[in-house]
Amino acid sequence: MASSRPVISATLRPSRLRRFFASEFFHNYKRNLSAVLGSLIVFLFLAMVTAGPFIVSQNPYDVAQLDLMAAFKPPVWLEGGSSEFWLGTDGQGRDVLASIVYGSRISLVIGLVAMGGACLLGTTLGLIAGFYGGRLDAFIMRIADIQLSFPSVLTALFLMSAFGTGLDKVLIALISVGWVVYARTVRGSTLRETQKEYVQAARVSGLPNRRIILRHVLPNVLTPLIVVATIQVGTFVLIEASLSFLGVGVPVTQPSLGLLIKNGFDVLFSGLWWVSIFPGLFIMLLVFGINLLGDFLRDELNPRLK
Amino acid sequence: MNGVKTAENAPLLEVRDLEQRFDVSGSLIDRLRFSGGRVSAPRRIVHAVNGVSLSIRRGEVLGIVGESGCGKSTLAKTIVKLNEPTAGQILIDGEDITHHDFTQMRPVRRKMQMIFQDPYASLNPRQKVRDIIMEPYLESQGGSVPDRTERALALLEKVGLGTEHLDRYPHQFSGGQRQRIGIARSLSVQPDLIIADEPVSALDVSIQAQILNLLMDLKDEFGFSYLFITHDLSVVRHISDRIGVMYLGFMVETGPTGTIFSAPKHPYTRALLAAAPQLGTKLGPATEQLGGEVPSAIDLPRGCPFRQRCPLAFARCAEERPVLVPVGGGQSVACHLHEPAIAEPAA
Repeated sequence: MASSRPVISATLRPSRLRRFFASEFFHNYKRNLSAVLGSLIVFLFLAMVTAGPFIVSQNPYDVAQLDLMAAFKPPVWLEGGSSEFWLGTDGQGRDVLASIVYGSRISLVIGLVAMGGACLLGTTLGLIAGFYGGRLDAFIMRIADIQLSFPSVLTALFLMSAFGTGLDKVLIALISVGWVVYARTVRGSTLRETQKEYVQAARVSGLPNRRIILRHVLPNVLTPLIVVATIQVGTFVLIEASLSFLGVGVPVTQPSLGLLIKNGFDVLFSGLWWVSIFPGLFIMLLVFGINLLGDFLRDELNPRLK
Repeated sequence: MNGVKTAENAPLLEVRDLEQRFDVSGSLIDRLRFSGGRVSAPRRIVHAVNGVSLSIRRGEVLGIVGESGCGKSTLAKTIVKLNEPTAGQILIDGEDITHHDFTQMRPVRRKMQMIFQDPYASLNPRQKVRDIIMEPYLESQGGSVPDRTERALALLEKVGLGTEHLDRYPHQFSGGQRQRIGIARSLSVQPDLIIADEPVSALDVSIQAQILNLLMDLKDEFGFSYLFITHDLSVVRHISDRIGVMYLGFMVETGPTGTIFSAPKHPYTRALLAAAPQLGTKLGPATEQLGGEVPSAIDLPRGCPFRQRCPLAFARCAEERPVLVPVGGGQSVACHLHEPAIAEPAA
């Protein structure tokens, strides 16, 4: 019997990377301008937040590096601008560009971590609701309905005012706003998948429910989540910015892009526009890139749109 | 054959008066009815399987035929405990498994496996063939990776698939090949009984014959039994030792395959056989062709379930539900016309 074992030659099989470049997915990606643009923006942002702090001249939150004499310098191309601060400085002499680099890092990390948490919580609850059904299902989905009937910023505001502010509280607020989309999507797919005979076959094989869920249902409900998760990072960056702008977001020692806008907002109408306009443009660019990417993934991964 | 053999002629599977009902009434709000100034909340119960008894000996093939919706698939799924039976008994090797819970069922699952109808829905699209076919084995025996690989390769060979398919995914196969994978999965624990729920009805006719022959060859080689569910009379004739005919969740006639086809007793069996097209023969006389619709399984008719469509129904059929009684030669019929006590019906 051992002699009949197939010889799977590693050399004959194209590598994973090679197969990816030959795939239909990659082919469509190459021809889709907005997808390329979106992923380029996202990639540049990722590069900026990882490598940026080593490149910019100043750590804007190290007080020793700040020079109050350099406060409110305009961008380099305006009169009075300095080539040291390309996008100008704020009231404490912080380089706006350096603040944006550091702020983007916080915004992106919050967006990604909160997305991961919401995805984990929502997927788990959705699987439980869809698989077991009955009262558990009704209970989970009614909570989801209630959650959805509040504007997400309002829910987050309420939670922040109840638990106080801070990075961890922002994450909790975002997760408790964001899990609903996953729970609903996953529950729907789970209901559909558990009707299929392969789940019954797994039961006949003697698999316990937990393993049926993990081995059979979960891998088959994940694809639509990729789209939701991508778009949600953008949404979370925006919600976090709104919260920070309203003063219930991240602490001033860990400023996100939203907090930067708020800091510059007070002087916006005295002509010192660059302090908050540039962080705003960067938020816009980031969310725009994420959404372009998400739209492409949605078209690509949804078989009904093909 | 694995396991300890019980008494030689004890049936491998015995089902006694099995009932399977489903409550489809939904929530209280859905159930509310307003009529004549009164509020009521009636329940809607589907009577899918009604008091079915059957037994299968080792190495025997029992075919169950009936129209779509007659409860034959539900019967199969209840026997493997995919449904919780409402009433009755299921015995495997003399062991009553009717109320076995999950852990108690584990050893039983090694004796009893199932082949499913839809070769597209019955294989997990995200699993490799090796994981699909070894899943029952992995769950019951475990085994090391090389052990499972070896067994998987042997199984693929047994069902006529090349060993190069081991690491492929279901979408790379045709319907017939997928059904072979499903068959390999059911064989992995070397069961004594395989419950095949319409295993060929989703396949092309040319493929059907191949799969049926494979099923017969495997049975001859391993000596297991089949409970073979189908709506196709030619299939059931080809494969079964005995046949059970179901109508509206009732077993209306059972007997050896030859007897059922040559001397059917129940009017429904006769109509079913007459309706099957055969080469070289004309359709049966018009009296054997059925009119009307199958009654709803929610409101079962009083008396005989078949009486509204039966050309031979008489007064007693509306009063009393006939039970399956032996009429000799291993044949049993649930029909008032064939009860020994009233061999001569009125009129």
